[in-house]
Amino acid sequence: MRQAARFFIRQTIALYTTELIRQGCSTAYATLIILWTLVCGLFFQVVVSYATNHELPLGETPMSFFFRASPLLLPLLLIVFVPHLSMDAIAGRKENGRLEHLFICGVHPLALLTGAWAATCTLLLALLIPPICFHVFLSIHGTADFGRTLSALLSLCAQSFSIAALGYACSSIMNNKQSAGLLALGLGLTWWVIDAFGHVFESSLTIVRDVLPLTAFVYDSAFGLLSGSSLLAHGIIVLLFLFLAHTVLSPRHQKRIKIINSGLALLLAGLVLTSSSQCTAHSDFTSTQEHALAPQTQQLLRELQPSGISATLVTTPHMLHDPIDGGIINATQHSLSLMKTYGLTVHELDPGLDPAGAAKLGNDLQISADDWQRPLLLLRHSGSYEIIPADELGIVTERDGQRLLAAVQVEGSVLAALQRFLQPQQIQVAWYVGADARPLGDIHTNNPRCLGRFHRLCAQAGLSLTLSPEWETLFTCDPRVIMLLGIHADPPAEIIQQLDRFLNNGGRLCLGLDGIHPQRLPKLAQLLGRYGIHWSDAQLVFPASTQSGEQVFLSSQEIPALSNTGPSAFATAEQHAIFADHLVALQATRGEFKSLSLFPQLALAEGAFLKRDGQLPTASNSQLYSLVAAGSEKSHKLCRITVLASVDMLSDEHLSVSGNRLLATGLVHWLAHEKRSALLPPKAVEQTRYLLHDGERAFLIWGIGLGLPGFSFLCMGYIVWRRRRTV
Amino acid sequence: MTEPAIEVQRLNKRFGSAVVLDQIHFSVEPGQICALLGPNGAGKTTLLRCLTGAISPSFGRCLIHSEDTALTRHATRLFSYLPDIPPLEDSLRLDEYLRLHSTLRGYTGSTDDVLARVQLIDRKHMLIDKLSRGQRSRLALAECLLHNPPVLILDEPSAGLDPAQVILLRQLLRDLSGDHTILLATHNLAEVEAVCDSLVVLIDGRVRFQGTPTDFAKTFTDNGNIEQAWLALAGAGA
Repeated sequence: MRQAARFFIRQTIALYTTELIRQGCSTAYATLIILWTLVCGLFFQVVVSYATNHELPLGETPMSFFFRASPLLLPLLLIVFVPHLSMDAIAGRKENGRLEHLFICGVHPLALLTGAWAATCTLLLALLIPPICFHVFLSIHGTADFGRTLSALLSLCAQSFSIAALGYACSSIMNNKQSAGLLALGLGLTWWVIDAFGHVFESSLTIVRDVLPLTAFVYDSAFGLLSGSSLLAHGIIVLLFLFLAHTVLSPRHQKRIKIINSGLALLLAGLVLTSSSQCTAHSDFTSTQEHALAPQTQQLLRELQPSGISATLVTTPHMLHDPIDGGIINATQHSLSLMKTYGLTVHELDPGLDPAGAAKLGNDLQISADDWQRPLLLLRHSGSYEIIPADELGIVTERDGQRLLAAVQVEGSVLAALQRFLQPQQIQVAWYVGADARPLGDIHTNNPRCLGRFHRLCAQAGLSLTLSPEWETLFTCDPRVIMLLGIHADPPAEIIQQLDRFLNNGGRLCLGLDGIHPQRLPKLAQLLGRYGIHWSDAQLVFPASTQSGEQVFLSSQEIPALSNTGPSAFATAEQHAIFADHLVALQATRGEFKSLSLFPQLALAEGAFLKRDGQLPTASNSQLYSLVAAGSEKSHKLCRITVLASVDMLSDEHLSVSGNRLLATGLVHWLAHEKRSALLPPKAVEQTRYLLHDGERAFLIWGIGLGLPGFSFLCMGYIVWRRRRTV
Repeated sequence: MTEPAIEVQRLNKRFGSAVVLDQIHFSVEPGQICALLGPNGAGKTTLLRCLTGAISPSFGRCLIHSEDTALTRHATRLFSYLPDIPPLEDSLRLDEYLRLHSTLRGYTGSTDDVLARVQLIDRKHMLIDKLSRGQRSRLALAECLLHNPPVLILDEPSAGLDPAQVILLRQLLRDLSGDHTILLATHNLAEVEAVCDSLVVLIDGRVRFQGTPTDFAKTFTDNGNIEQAWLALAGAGA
């Protein structure tokens, strides 16, 4: 037995070596390599040319865009060229009797398949050389994000290997090279189209799944196994295709067995494909996976596990296709997938597809028909539900350039909601709604002067709001937080004194100015001046030194500088430490990217709360929608103050922008809770900025952009020539 | 009594409704060179393919040194098969090709000896693609001799060889006989006369004669001419 195994391995290695030589020196492989380096070279040129001021921000946007694009592009090249490599190994041998001769010589079909497939895979690994060269070159000029590179390269490998396996399956089925090549090309293109238009097929499959009860079980089981790991799906596909090829090739199998086995393998491969719903492999070790979260968040999620939380995301079909709300759904699903990672139960409910389930849940929860028209997140713990509208979670669509931001948002929204859900606490908030204050109005009226949405956010944050129409009743509820939003006149003197005592005792104050007019609120200005906050002319001013040392001045002039810290709010843990208490403000500069640009980091300077008229203020006396926040510790009690230059930031109109909603969510949590649930620091990431001199930039453009394809052309030409020359 | 090196027992092969081989039954003693004669389409190649285990018989069995070639993979080490069109890997060099086949057959010795034996040693670094037809035949023969199997099954080995090479081939076959059993499918009656100890005549899927070339000639003619015997048995059309 051992001798047979040893002989099998020797045969496999011999065939592997032979195939490596044969395929590696073929013109099809040479063409593939040259084309691939050409594509890479052109792409690198675009990346370098696009970078402005000779700064090449690598690791986040440009390379991630490349690696995101390449898994779509690479299959096309592979689908065209890999059949050329595989069809000669099996179908070509069948044509001229070499295959039969090999079997007569005692070659095991599996040894032939494994050896040939492994040789193809080895040769396809060469496709990784150009991206690695590019990355290594750039890493000389800065610190590289190898986690992301590794993810992308593994994805490329996985899909290369599975396309190669598909080629061998087709080559085994057909009896001549041409038909094998055509079959592989047809199946590969179909696979690619399914991936490119995956959302269409996914909807159809979901319907099929729900119509047929048996498929629902199979589909859900497979989906549960594979949806989180396309690498695993690709691994299974490779095994199935090789099994199919082996069954067909094996001369000792009866025809009936061959047909049954092939059908079974194809059925399983189809199931795997539809379950993973993608032909391109995606792996990501840096964004959606747990280690991208801050340690505190991971700890929080681990603590949630034994609590038995289950979440139901209620969606509606039109929501899934809506460009804006669909994005919210996607982002919410992204959050839910994180919850899944930590073992929390999550499932989706579409009232259109499952009316019975929706009706039952609707009855249990007394949800009105109107509520079903928008996405909801239902959290259940110990039998009771809490309903959170998914469009108010403050999550924006996940994009590659925004990975840590997405994690921060998750930490600041869904997880905050989860934490609040687990530890329900009512924090008393006094909200002055006198005649001179901004009205609350109705919820979701999109009234620019209305604070209805903000009111709703406060309620969701577990704040118990006591509306006070008179100054005298402001402190009667023993508040933890006081909201003074949009007032036009100072409170009476005794209220100012009470406010002073309130802040000294660790109270929290949210002051929303209705434009910066120093003469309008002189007493409040004097009070807050003691905490280091001043306002004059058209700006909020936060001096460099205060009692606590926790301060930041944030205005539009500083926002462009902040945009250089990378796509996440904080590129380093040090930066986070500096701005820890003011994350709410910084998030606002990052939260909204309505225009999808090729390199989104260039749009970072567009702060969400500057979005109202779509332009940065240019004049020095422009009215700014700025926010300052301060924390001050006195007598071991931490008081917190936020001042908004314009309360419009919290109006319904502005809160319809997700970045502003995020700001408001963070603001509320920061004010209300001792724990900084919205302020969990993101995972520390390394600085990934690169500075290139003119010479280096020129080298990159000409050397890699054009030199690489030229070099590969010369290399492959030499290899083929040397192979074919007569000794 | 020694066991036969090659034994075909009541072999039948059908492709659909067509009977290609019908009740084939013969044996070859060890050390003999046996010719397999037959007109085109008589079923010679099918018989050889059954014998090598490449295709399964519909009925009956083929034994090489008592091993059923259709059932045991081990039997592949007992013989070598040279098809009429040598199935060579054109993209490999001669030495690479022979190294591959020596590994596949579990042979660990040098490949230079067999290359020298077929007079291709000076071309061992040449691509197979660039070989002439005769050289390809010789390379295929070298491959057959690599692991020195007890049985050689050769399908028209002299096709495409020049006269000098044919003479050398015959000499080689004579040298190999004794230690090796050779089953030689051929159309060349002179070759049969020159090197074969026995012959099997296959016509329309049936064995029409089995015996020595001399007996064959005497059975079907009065003057002992093998060519006339062949014409008498198979007809001018064959």
